[in-house]
Amino acid sequence: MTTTDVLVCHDVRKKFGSLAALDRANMHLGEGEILGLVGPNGSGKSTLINAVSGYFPIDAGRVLLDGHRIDGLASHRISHRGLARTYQIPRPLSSLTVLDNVKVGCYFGRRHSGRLDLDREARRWLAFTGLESSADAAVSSLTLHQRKFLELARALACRPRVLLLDEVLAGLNPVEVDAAIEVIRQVREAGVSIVLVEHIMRVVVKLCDRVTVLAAGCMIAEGPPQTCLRDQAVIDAYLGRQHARGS
Amino acid sequence: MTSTTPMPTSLRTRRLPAVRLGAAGAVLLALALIPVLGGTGRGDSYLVVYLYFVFFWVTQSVSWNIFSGYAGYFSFAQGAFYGAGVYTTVLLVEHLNLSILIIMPIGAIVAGVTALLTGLIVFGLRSLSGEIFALFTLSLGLGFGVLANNVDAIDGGRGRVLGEVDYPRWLGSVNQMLYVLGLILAVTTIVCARVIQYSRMGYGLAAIRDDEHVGGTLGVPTLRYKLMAFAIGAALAGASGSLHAVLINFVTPDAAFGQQVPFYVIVMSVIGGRRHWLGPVLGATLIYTTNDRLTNLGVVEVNQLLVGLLLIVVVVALRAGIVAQLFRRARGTALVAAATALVFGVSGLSSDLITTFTWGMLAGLALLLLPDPVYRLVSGRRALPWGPRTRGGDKDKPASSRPRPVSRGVL
Repeated sequence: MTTTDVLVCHDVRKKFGSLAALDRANMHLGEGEILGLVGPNGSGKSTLINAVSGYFPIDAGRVLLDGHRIDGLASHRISHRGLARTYQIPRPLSSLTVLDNVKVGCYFGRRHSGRLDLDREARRWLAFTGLESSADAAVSSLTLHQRKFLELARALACRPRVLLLDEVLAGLNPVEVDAAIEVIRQVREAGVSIVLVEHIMRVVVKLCDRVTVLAAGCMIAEGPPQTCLRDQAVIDAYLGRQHARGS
Repeated sequence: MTSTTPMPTSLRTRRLPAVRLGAAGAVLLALALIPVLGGTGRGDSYLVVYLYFVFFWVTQSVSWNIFSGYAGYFSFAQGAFYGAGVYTTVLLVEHLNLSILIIMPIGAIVAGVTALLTGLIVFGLRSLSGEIFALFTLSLGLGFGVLANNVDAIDGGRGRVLGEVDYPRWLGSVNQMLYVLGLILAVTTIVCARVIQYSRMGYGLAAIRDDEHVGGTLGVPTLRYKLMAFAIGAALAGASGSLHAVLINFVTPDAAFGQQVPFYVIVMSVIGGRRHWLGPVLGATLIYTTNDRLTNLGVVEVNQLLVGLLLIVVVVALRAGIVAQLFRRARGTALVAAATALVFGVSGLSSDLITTFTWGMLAGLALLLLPDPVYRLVSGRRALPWGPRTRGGDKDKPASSRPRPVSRGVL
């Protein structure tokens, strides 16, 4: 844990009934870093994202954004402090146009001083994600691919310092994935630190500076993607001990 | 909308075009002059009373819509807020004999605070759903009714006669006073609703309506906005109830806290369209006017039947309410409504202004209910739907790849 960490999760616990979805989960994100959050299905990746963004309260542990505790805060307060997220299954505001969806992010989001030109700001993010031609369309007319990018545009419109991307690339074809990788790199260039939940290992290796591996709600490995994904514990967690030995 | 002027949108969308501002001003002036022109002995004409009732229902449904329409939580507490206003007047006139100009703000405060306290309790519930909110607010009205029926200091169940209510004499007769204050209140409510709709708060409420969790994640202060919208709507409804007490004069708990106001307000807003301030205005005018005409014909029994029928037809045919369709067919509707009104007015088929207006309105509604292909045929927008199509860029594309426009002005 260094002093330049923008987001720190310390021993976060979350129980659903008797099931501990997160059990002492640790994670830290450095300034300007892209952190891959990986792990098998049900390992608690999305739960961690939800816990950090204030979707539900956590049972124990601490979450710090810029050194200030944000666990227990209402989600809009977390957003005001500069944390934005996307949803794994896109959740657009269905009665609004594409442009207005992004505008909600511009109107609210991280606190800012001075007056913003909301319309131009929103269109800028639409252009950035390649949705400018659908600005006045209803969200129901968007494809899944476009909806994922709308999620991204809306989150960016919140002017985040930390962005949590929950499987934005799932379901895209290889060409689209490459384009998306470029987009995410540009977001980082703009000074946003990113946590990326992803299943496609090619993307993780290409994009992430570091990965954190979760299994059964607990961090089992952490480090540079190349070495970390070869870690025996990680292979065991992904493939099962038996299978790992056999191969 | 795609102009390149560097003016912030917030200002651009909020600014009314001069033409529309002028039109609104002209309508307002005409309405303001009606009781004055009729003042030469005809100040108490039926038209004045009829218009007062339109203002009353417009105020009630637009105020309901500020929270329940924009934020999507169906409230049945409108009766409680309206009744709180009514009984504020009853008690303040009885004990202190205050002027109605002082009573109305107090009624607004009473109802607004009631809403605020209700909201603090109900919105604090974990996993609050729309259904629970609806039931909770329903019980609020019922509870107030029971309270008023059993507490002698409020009513005690016998009902109260209001008698003379103090008001500045320059407002004219009682009916003229009601008309003027009712108009002012209706305009205030509409302005409130419009300002909120196009403001930051309007976007926030729309986000709450569509997906409250997402709204929170985007930074919308959901609890504060819900409380604010609920209280503002309730305060306007309370002020309107305070004024209405003067008209009903004999007040009973069952009437004041009954289900008539919440029921009609919901029907009016749903028929009119809940996303836009104009929706409940149209819904209230349409429903009250048809009710009034049927009552005049002596077929009161048909009223509720017709309201129910209208609700079914509109909900099935125009899911987003009249207003959304009206924006799509504004010119055609205005034309048909005006022409019908003219025919009925000139030919003497209708004996008075209100009936003429009703026919015009119903003709306009009929046009809005026409299915799209029939409308295109009637309006001549396109050649026969099965005939050869004209050259056109986007018609060649399959329908799915064309962006579907959302009607402008509807958030």
